[in-house]
Amino acid sequence: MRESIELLQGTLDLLILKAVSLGPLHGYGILLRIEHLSKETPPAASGPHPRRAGLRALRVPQGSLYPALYRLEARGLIASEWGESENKRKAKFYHLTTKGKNALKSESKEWVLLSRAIASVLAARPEGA
Amino acid sequence: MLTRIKAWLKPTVFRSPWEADMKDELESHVAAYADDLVASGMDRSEAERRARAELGSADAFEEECREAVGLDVLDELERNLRNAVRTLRKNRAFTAAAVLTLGVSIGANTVVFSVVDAVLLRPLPYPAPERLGLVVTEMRARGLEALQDAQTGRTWEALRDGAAGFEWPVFSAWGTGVNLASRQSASVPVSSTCSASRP
Repeated sequence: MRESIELLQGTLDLLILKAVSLGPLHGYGILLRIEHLSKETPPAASGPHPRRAGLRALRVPQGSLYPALYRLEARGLIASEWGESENKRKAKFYHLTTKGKNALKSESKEWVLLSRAIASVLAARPEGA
Repeated sequence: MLTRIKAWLKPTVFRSPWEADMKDELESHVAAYADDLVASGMDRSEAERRARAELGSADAFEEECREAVGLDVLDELERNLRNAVRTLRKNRAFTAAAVLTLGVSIGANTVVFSVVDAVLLRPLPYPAPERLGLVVTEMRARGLEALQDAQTGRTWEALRDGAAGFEWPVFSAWGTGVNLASRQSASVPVSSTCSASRP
């Protein structure tokens, strides 16, 4: 079993918005936060899946993180300014804009619907079984 | 749309600060990642090498960032323009032919447009130009038909006094504008046929 799973195409933007919504972060911090959060058991884990132990970290490809950040900034969903990191290094911090908040809300909703739909398709049993 | 344009304008107009900013950010990323690798027991130089490697090729990476804000369109345009200038410099004869062709066609178009503009598009320089008309006499005799657009003075007098709806029947076609009356009819001499011995 691999230690991490690859990100699904097109989901990075949503994850970045979410990570940044929890507080301003620099690029590397966003990476860590996504990987860290993906390992945690969500609070509402008492769903129809009894086995939750198989949670693995999402691996964010570093090369695609910054282009995604720049794209989101160009769309006005996040904004940035230079500051100092916890290690006393110069770093660019990103935060969510009002437009970004709305986008996060609607895209999260869509993602939940999509994943539910896929889950119910995958949960189908052969007829007569 | 407006935020899009604004977001594009900033890196376009302030290109070199934008590029420097991007490089700074990458360096700060590499440094932060290397810090973590060092903390987990890796050698400093090895950590930095590894951090850089995970970002991928720097050129490809920077290009992707430029693409993300729409700078690639501009770069592409610049490359194409440079290439065009180079090609034109190399092939003098071709350039001359192209310039000549363009010059002649633009000139011809301008002339044609000027004529069309003056003749068809612009209203005539008279008050109420839409009320101007051309008076034509239709003549039929022994199976022959002819249209005459130069009218005699009598016709004008008849039109002026008798026809309803006309305001100022004035004659100005083909002639000097002078009506000559002699014996039975009045006529307008056409300048080329005007002579003292005219009946």
